[in-house]
Amino acid sequence: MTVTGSRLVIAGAVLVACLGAPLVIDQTYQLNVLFRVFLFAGLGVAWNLVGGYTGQLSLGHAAFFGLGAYGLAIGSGKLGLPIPVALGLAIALAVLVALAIGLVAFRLRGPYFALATIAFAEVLHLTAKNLPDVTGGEVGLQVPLIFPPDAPSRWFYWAAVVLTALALAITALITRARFGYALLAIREDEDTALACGIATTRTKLHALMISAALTAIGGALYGSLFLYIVPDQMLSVDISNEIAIVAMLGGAGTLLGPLVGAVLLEIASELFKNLFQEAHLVIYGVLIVVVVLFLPEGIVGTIASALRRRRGRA
Amino acid sequence: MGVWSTAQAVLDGVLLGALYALVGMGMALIFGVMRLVNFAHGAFLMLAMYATYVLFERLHVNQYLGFIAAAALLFGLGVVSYRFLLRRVAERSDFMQILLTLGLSLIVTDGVQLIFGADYRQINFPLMSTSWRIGRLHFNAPWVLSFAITAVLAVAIYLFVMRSRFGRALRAIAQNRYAAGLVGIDVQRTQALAFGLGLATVGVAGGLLLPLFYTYPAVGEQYTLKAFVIVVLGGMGSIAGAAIAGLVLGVVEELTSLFWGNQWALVVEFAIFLVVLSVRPSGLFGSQRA
Amino acid sequence: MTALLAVDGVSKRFGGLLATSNVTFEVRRGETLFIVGPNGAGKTTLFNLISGFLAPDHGVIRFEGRALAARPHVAARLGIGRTFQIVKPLKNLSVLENVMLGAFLRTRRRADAAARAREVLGFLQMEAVADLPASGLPLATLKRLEIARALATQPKLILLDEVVAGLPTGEALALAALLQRLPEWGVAAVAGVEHVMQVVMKVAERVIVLDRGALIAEGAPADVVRQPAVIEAYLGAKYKDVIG
Repeated sequence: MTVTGSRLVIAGAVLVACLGAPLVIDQTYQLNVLFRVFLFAGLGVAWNLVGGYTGQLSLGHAAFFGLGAYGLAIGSGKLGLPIPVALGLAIALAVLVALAIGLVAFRLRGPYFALATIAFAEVLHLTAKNLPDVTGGEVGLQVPLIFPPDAPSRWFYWAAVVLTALALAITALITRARFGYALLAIREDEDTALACGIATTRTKLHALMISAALTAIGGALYGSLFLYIVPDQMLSVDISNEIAIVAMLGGAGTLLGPLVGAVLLEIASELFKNLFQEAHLVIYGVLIVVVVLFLPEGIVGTIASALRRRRGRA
Repeated sequence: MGVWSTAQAVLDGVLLGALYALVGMGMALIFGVMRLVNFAHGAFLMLAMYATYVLFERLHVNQYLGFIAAAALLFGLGVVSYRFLLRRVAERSDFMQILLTLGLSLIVTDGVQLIFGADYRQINFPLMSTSWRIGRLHFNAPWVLSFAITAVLAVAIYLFVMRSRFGRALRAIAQNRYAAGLVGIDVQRTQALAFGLGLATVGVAGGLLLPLFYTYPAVGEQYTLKAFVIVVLGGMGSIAGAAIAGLVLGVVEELTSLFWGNQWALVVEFAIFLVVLSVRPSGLFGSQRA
Repeated sequence: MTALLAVDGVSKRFGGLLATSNVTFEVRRGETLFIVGPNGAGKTTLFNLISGFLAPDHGVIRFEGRALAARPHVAARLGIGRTFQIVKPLKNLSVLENVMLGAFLRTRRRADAAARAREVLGFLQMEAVADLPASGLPLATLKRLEIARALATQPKLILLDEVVAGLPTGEALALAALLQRLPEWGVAAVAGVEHVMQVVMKVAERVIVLDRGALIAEGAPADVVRQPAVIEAYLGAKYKDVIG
């Protein structure tokens, strides 16, 4: 069996194991924690396409996350569409907004890109707060339950696992294809990418749109689990930061990095919340500082680099 | 909405804008001149507000003198933060700077929340309710006082950065770090002091904002974003540009509040920010350096 | 026959500096043209104009008869390949993957791109480093990598920006010998910028000389170097010995 073949088998086995978890873990609280882990893993992998592989640091992904949830809620509630259609609408909306954001923001270099993404997300955030007729304003909006009501936590958990698997599969396929090389080239040196005939803006837009679609699905799931959404929860800077940090902690630009980052961060977060209560954000901040200073490539990235250097020497 | 309401809004905007100008000038020093992306800007401003609060409540320091201590505190913190933390990422990618300062911001914000709780804090002093009138325009005393001090300090900072040897060294580093080192400038020391100065400026703003607004741990975030908006509007590296942009922002904010309501103020600011970024990334006064 | 590349009255200004001043010349199929001139003469600016990275303020650049827009990726697709004076390897990729990036311009399939990349690396005698990461390699190798990547895009015109600069003479001449074989790879014309006169004399069929943005001489290398204007601007007495 080839390397790829054996890797696929391992991946498949892991996937089956994850899907089988609810047979062993039954309590709602634990399933919800696991849901959060896999949700942010999926969101991190989606972000990684743009932030890690293409090197475009987006700090406004909450826009897509929130659009997913609000699209579902408004489509199903105000517009009375069936849930799958509303979901499709939400994703389409996120993709369109990604296009709009990208057209403006990708012309900017360096930190200006990040700032622009923050600005876009905040505009959406504040607009959601200010248009109560459309979005329920600060009071919020109801979200339909998209899964059978008898054991919803299980379904949400499975959905999150599937989302993560889907995001990973897409990323893996992209990185092996021409598109993936183009993304890496854009990250490393845009001039070189251009000189190789890569339409850099169009490529970046495609990556952002794919990322947005996946993120929107995540947002819809999250909103549906809580059955109720408010702008401060779904469209805030905190969500954008958390997604980026998950990917960066684990290793931006690596396939499994965001997965590791999500596991670590979400579980640590839960632990800290229980153990440290108030101080958990301080510890979170310290964690980020430590990683930036000592593990800039993230956990998986640092391990991968170390392995590469070993191989180089041998 | 009569002419006088509009005029009042413009006036209030200028008074507020002076404080924004200070916040912006601090950011212009840090981001514009040092090219350091500082997402902890607002958190430090919040810290200054709390420091002034504590000085007022516990030590009965006059609310219009507290800013001096706040500025000194932030200067020290700035130098220390740069020396031990930020220096390590100053040469690295913006990504790293953003993340590091984000982490710092979290630590500061939540640290304050741990100590003081999340409640809004406000100080009360006799001058608060005093207000003067010229024609149909009201001048609220605390605002005027804050404005006056701010204006003097803003000019002082501008002159310092533009005329002093230190300021020249700083601008030299901004233009060409390597060459600056070659002509004998101690780059690391200058940058540390500059970061301190940038934060001290923010400290003054924070200290002077406290008599006017209430404060709470999360108040800093909006100021970070506004600071970036101001710096982009004013043009990279332009201290004077940031000052003017700050005034403009204040006026925009008050006018928006007047005509559309306060909740749209930030939206309008960000919209302007995005428009400027797309159309003229070098800002209204800046040189080609986006 | 139409020239492959026609630069017509092109000027480019950066603020107070006139980097390119009313330059007109052609690159014909089958020829190897070198652009020489003192530092700051505007050679790299010219390359940036030809490869679409900059737009001229005045004048037109035509490739295969059609006017070029300032869109570098389009220029690449039309068949203008280039190297960069300051090497830009994609550090986190292997040498092979770097070259594959170029090959991907002409094929979607990874296997085909890899095969093409290996061929090109073979031609440039770089098989040994193909699977090494591009970071940490010596300058000489990186310069070859630039060429390999450009060559993998199957260019009709290849722009070589100071590819032998910084190399010891032996290596420079070895590389020059390889460059003379570029037509085997479907390259219709080679335009190079160089300072290293031994290479220019050996490889170039035609030379144009730039000085302070303007074109001051054009012709066979042996003729050009004798022209007083050129000697005055650039060469100096010691290079007279190179002309054999």
